[in-house]
Amino acid sequence: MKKQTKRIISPQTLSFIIMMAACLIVFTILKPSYIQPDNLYTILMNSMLPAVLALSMGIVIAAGGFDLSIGHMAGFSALMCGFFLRDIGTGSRMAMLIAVMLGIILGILNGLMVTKLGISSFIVTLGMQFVLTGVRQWISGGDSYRASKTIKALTQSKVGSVPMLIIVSLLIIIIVGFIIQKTSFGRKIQFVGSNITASEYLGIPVRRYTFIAFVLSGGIAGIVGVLQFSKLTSATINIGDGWLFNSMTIAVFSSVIFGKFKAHGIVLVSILITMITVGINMLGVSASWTNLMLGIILIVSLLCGKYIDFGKLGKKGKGVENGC
Amino acid sequence: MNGAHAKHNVLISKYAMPLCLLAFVLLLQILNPGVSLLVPDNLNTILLQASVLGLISLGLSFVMISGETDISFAGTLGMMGAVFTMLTTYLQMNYFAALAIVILIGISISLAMAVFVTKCGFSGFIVSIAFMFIGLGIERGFNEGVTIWLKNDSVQALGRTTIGGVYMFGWIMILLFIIAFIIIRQTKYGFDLRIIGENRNAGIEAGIKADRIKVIAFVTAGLMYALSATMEPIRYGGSIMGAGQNYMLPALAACFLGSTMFTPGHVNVLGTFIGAFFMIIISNFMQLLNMDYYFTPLVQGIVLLIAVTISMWKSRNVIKQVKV
Repeated sequence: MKKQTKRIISPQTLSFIIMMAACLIVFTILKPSYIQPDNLYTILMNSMLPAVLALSMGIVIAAGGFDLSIGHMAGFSALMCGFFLRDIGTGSRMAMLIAVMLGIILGILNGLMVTKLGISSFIVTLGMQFVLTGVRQWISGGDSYRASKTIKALTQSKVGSVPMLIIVSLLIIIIVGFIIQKTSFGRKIQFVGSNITASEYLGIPVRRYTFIAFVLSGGIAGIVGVLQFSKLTSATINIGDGWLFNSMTIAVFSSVIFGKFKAHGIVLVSILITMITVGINMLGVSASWTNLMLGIILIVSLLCGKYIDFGKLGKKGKGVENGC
Repeated sequence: MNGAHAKHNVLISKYAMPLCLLAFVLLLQILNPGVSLLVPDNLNTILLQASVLGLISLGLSFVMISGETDISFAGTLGMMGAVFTMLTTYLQMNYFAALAIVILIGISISLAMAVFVTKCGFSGFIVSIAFMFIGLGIERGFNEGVTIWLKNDSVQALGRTTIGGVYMFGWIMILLFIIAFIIIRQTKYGFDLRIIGENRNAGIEAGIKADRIKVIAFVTAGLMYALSATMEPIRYGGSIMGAGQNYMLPALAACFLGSTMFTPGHVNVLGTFIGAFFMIIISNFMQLLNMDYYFTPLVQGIVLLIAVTISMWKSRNVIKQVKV
């Protein structure tokens, strides 16, 4: 692991914040109402859950896997939360608990297939996505579900003037970020991801750590599902279809700019992407530009990660690994 | 273990999977004697239905044999389809003129991707996601979320053309698969491509120009995507929004399913052909059997997982990591 000189703000973070400020200024010039507190509040609210889901993706990527089913897992647990609430008639708390448990179970299934059957996580999660698409239709029969008051309160109530959504999301991000980045347990997960052979020689039980990474990621996906259900107040059959690409973009973008797994990086990237999405929507141009911008941002960030970091801020050498 | 036994095992690992899939298909027919599934008419239809997915998977196979992954078609296919539809409907261009333009677009996109992958050393998967987003954005800019209907009699007639009782699109797919099979198995290029995919460094040491090989693989894929992008609107009567996204998972699944047979663990052209065919056969049969919609993804996903589990059984002790 590379040694890092202690600094309060790393150059990457600083340059990224400058980039966000520039983005803010550009959109404000184009549309003055962009900078109003209401709008900034919306941006913050909309960027939280994608960040948490990207965190869950980030864990799997850090452990040397990839999860194509992450959006569907979150969507599935949201749908199941509604299903248990309405069709089975469990209480709200129970439904939420079951939904998170389902996320964990799916994570366990993914993890077992990757670690016990030796299948590439790419294929496992691809198959899982097919299976979930079928199962959710089977169980719900195409119905949509509405959230109960208790579930809505989970994100929509406020503590003081801070909405619960932000508190809950930040709490998850801080806890998970701490576990993965600071504890020896989390570092072992990352180490297994970066060099599985070396970890095995060091006596790290690679199987167990890979497995735990998948379970953790499934659990977080389950939580995100419940929180999204609470935020959107309803769950339809195709809930979660677009979340995969969103979380993937954020996780990859963050790992390109900030290095392997950085919780604060994921949050900042999520906010930037939401800023751009909201900004484009406010300008009133076609929503198609959002996708186009996402693609261009991804390429530009790859190039920045490769060349700018390497040239100007190159004191640490080439710390960013973006090769496949 | 004696030699004959080992040879026997190799034969099983090579040909067991396609035979199992064949048995599965036959079983579906035998269990439902009332429905004519495996009759020439329906097989012809299946061939037509499989043509688009088949060509996409064929292009993807080239990239995957070279050791990269390319999902750009999920966005660019729809974009090229929209371009094709607009050219033939608004300008009343003939098929080949429009095809030439679309191929030009497809090849330039793939060339750009290949340059990013080979010159900058980015992961093909990530770069292709970026291009997928760009494609999605441009596509939505073209059709604004509404289907552009194809209105050009001579072009539409191509979709109904049959040669010797078999749809022309089916012939094109079969022909291209045969050519691709010969290229991969018999030519020096195919040999180099497989070496690069297997062990890039060894290939370079052996004097293979890895970058050039990879660029050609990407461009071949672009060609295939462009060709299928012209067939898709003809099949469905127009450029439907997000047309490419429906193919992303089936195409990946077809390649992975194909990697379980003939050369277990490696993507191969013949396997991809059977994989793509199998994916379409399942959805076709499920429709004819009046099964609920959810059975199709469920069966496809479960078959994929089981097939990969069986083919990976020997190496189940090794965790296969995905580096992004």
